[in-house]
Amino acid sequence: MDRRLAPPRRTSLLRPTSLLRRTFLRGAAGFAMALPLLESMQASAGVSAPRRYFLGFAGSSIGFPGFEYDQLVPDAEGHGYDIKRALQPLADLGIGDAVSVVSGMEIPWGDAGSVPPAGRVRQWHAKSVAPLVSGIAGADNGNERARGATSDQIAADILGKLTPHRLLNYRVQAAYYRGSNGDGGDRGRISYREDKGQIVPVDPIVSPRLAYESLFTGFVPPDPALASAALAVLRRRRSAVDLVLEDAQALIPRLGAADRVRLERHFDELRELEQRLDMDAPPVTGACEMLADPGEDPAIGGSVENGDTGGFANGGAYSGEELRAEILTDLIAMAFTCDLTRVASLMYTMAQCFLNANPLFGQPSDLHELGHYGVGGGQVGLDAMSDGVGWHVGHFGRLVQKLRDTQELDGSSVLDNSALILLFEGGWGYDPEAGDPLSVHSSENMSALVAGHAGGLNPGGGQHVRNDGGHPTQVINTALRAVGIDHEMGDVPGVVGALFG
Amino acid sequence: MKAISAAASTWGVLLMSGAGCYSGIGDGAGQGATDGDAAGSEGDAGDTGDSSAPVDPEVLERVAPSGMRRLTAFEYAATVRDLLDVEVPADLLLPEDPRQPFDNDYRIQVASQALIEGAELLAADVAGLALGSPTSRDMVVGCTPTGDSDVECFRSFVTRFGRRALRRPLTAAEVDRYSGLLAEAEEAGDFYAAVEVALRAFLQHPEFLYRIEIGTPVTDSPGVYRLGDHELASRLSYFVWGSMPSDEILDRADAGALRTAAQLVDTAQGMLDDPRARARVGRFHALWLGYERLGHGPELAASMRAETQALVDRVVFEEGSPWQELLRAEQTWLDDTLAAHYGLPAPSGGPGWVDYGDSGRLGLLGHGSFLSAVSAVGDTSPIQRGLMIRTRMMCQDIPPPPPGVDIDNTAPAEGQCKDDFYRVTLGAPSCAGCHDHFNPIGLGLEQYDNAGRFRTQELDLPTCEIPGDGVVDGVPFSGPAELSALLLGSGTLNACVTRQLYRFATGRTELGPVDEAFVAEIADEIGPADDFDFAQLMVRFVADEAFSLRRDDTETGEGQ
Repeated sequence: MDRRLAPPRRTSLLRPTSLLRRTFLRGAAGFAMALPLLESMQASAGVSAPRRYFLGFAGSSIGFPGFEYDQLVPDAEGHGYDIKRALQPLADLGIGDAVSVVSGMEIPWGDAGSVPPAGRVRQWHAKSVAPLVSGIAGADNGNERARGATSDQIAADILGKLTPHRLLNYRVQAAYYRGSNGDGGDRGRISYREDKGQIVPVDPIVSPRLAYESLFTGFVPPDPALASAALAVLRRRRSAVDLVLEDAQALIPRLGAADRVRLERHFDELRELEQRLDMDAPPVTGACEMLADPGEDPAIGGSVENGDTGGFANGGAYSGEELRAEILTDLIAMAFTCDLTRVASLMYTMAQCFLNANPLFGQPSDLHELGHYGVGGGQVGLDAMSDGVGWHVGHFGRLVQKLRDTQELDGSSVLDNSALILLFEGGWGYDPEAGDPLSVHSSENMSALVAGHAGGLNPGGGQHVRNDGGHPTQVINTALRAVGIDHEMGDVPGVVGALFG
Repeated sequence: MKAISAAASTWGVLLMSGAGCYSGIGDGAGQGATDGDAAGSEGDAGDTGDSSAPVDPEVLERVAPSGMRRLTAFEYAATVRDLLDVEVPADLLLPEDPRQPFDNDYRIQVASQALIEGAELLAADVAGLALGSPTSRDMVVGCTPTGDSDVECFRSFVTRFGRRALRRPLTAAEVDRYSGLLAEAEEAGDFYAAVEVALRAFLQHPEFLYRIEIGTPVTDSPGVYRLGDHELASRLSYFVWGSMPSDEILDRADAGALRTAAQLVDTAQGMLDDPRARARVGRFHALWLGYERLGHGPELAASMRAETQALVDRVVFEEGSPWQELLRAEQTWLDDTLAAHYGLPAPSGGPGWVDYGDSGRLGLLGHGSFLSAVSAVGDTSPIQRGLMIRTRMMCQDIPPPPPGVDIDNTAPAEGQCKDDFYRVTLGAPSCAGCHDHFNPIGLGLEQYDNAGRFRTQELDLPTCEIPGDGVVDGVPFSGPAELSALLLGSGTLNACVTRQLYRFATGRTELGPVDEAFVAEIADEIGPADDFDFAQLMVRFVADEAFSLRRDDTETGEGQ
């Protein structure tokens, strides 16, 4: 069954409905609603298009055991670089000239008690993620949780004030697929928020259906009958949430201190939902439109434990991630287009990704095992591994392509006003855990992709920039600066200046 | 099959015949739960500042911390099934519940947009299903409205449904407020539009999504509270059933009939006759021993699950045998698929009990589910199996690997036999200090592959014989049957099962001194070597006065 999104409908599917809704809501709730989007629209009238920030993450290294190179990083530096196997999807999408590759970076490591700033502990799996996304050294006791706020949350605090969603925080990979009782836990998160002095992990939305329903809250179809039904649903949602908020608020002071903190967090999130329900649908202008309903979510696949090629061939360890990636990408693109949000983070795959590669590109193995001779060694192994890297590149590229092809009201493209990055969990090189000089369990030779032109980023289009010895989190600093946020992540100073020309 | 030992019978009979024989159990009305629950917005103990009678210092020492616990996705689905007779795939829309090994550790639950919006969408889905047909609609509402704004019918629905959804009676003020939703019926010209809004609200209510316990302060015991009747009803039902209290249990709470140990024991005994208890006990074992999710094809996985659940049902519920029978059952429940998989005789005439015979298998440790539970890629992992036995079944802490150990590349060299690798390479002095604790246990199960099939040679290296010799603390064994016997004779199993059940009951992985005191109280009672009845172990938890009390948890947790 083809469950892809229907082609964009160019006829207008929505219209502002503020008068009717506000009238009712005022009457029902007895007080006037804040309408931040309206203010946003007023504030931005005649002002240039907003800047958007996108962080993508791939739970994969980019090389292959025994190889002193990978097939992501071009040989040539500068513009017009050569396209290797893992970048081929960019060329196929016709955006080979729109994406920069930053190579040669590394995350330092150390043993417990002496992990360097912004570094990782000697052990490999998932230990690079915390310093990568936060710029602060990871724990040295096996905990894989980030210890600083992440860039999507930092950007959302600044760019997300005026949009219905301060941030879209999604994950493509639906389950961990490893271990009889395995779960992703911290391996399934790249978003952490500072809240009341604590660093709090933020669960991503994984369900495409939920992402869709959440994003298009407030959109009302122009057909009067459909509009009436949609408005009724909105009204009921609002009434229910209002009641619950009142009850939660009454309950909070009666709880013990720890429970109070936890219910307050729940309450805060619920209030944000209430505010979204109050907002008007965005104006139907330009390319903004309501996407077709993606329908029910694909079922969650079971784990394939046993190196069982039959299990991979039969579609285990897979929950329709190809479709999930397409839907979530489309939603992010449209959210940027409609100014429903200006910040998104998308975890394509979890750290140490055990997603089945077979439905993605015909290799009966999970992505992690591809890096460990899952389908063979030598060039065969490197190619298979590169196809796994390329799968992430392809979906990132698809987002870049959509934003490039979407026009803002002022005639620029959304890509012109965006900064998008794709980070990888690892590179290749020395593995201090095994003492292996050429391993995929390495945070040497890390690379990242950077697209968009916000703030003068990539002035001459995509190029290959070496940032030898630099920290990959400098790429985040760079993208933040491009969207107007002068912030250096954790203990990682500096930006990749060459990306600004 | 062995008969129940005298010791187990005695223990069960003691518990059954007079709960009051246990020290510290309150059996008078004044010591039981309070008549007003802390939840709710009026007339409750929390507002009045009342306190409940002092508690025996010995009991106080084992009162567990508790904090608000979000329903797991599994509990959510079970709850709406019982509440509204609808099925929803809650795990698609709610954030994942990490297994460590249980899925209900409230200290790592963090509210997020994903939770709030997932719960909102689920509420809409559930409301839609519940009101989807006239029959189910009538069942939900419980009366037939005479018009769009039938106040009486709506109030009756709010009162009845609200009590079941929030697991406590609504206050009069709450009924008034929720009845105000009837405005939606007028707006929409449809009585059931207001019902829909009420359903959405109740299903997003914090007292639905979370189990919130407040209680009444215990005199002279700062930070300790006695649960309200309805808080206790919920604690009881989620412990025994993993779902909401039934109407009958709520009635008992309403009537103040969950206050004495005898009342609680009687209620719990009745709950154990319900199929929900079987599922709950089956799930406890699956989470504990790591086979909740099996990495096999659907047919084989279903057969394995059926095999293990059948044994749990038979031992714990149908025959009332000692829990130990799970490890020493000489028969197993097979269908044709699983019989062929194991190479055991197929049952005649469909799935049924089959003798293990001299296969070397015995009880649950001979099941494919257990033997599949932990493995390396493509093969068994003697390390992981050994760690599983040590940490999960012997409740021993094993320190993490020291710095510099590459835990991801712990595998034999090309052409090296596994037995040689685990016995010799990892038997080197630099490794043996730790690995000797668990590798030899795993090696004793090596003749059973990672899907539970018997083998004597390595699949990839047929020249490598698998001797299957293992050792636990100096005592040799080979295979599941002998390992079971060793564990049963270890003197640590009973306390370990009790501790694991306690973790599952309290929703906390990390235990402190008061938790250990509770576990020790009961484990000492069972004794290290005697048989015990698992269902009665659950009842014993409930019968302890500490089950009716809580200590304010000062940890916000959130996995920090």
